[in-house]
Amino acid sequence: MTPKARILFLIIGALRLLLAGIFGWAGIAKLITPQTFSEGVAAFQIFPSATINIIAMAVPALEIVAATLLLSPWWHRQGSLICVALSTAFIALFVWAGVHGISVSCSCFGSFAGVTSAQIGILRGAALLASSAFLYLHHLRSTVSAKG
Amino acid sequence: MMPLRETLNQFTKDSRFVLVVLLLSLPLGYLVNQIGPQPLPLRPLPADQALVQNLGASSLPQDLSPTKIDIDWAMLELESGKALFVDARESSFFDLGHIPGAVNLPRSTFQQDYDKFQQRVPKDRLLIVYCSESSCVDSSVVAKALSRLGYSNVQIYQGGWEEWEAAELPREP
Repeated sequence: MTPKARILFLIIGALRLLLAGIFGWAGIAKLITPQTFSEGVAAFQIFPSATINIIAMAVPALEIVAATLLLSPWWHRQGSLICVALSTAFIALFVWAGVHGISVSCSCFGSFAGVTSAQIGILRGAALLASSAFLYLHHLRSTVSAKG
Repeated sequence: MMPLRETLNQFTKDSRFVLVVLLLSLPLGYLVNQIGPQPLPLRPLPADQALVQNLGASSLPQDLSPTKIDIDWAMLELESGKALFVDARESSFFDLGHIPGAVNLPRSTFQQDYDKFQQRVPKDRLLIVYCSESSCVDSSVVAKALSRLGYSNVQIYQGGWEEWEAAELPREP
């Protein structure tokens, strides 16, 4: 392995661990305080009230599944694609909140997070999106190269 | 450069996988939620009902439409000294200024603050709840929650702090 490849290998490993940690922690924190997260989802004022608790149940499960897949040796590529989808959705929600002047407590980490401004939410989502997209593209390239 | 066709094929396969995981996360989330410490109902509770969860609201009152009063009535009640004003805004706003004698009971920290509140305030006390302005909903949510918890004489001052301050009525600090 060349020094450049070794550095890339370390960066990819660190990113996988970091993203798995962030999404796993976020999912577990939301599971512990589902009511807080449900109120956070409702605060965006975009979802019909009948769907709010369903979203509040599904998102933490999805985050924990994504974290688990990221750590698995077989499905980490798909795990990073789930992180891309989640981060994109988070950014879209915060853009919506910013455009409509809604001050939100996103409850992204359950009760362990306070009120989040739309700008901070977008920046955080963008950092997650950049990291997970980089990871997915790297794994996608490796898979396609190996096949062909 | 990645071969475009293979890359797109792989991306399509991955997207299908993600879609399946997305669909599976719905029942999985529901199951995990049901065995969790605070399971959510599938349909969300009304905001005031959610506030009183775990606070022992055993016999729910039927009529949950607290009387709304205007600024003149609120001023009369303040002068009479019989009513306790309840400020449902966040504590940071309460600290900047509030109706004299008001206690702070924000919607966001209701569950934590209620225990102290109920120890100090008898259930038959006249309570007048307000929030920041006429369009805010926190006064209504907190007033209904207090009614559910057995407070029998709860009113809402609809104009809120904005109207009170604009009228240059007494304030603290």
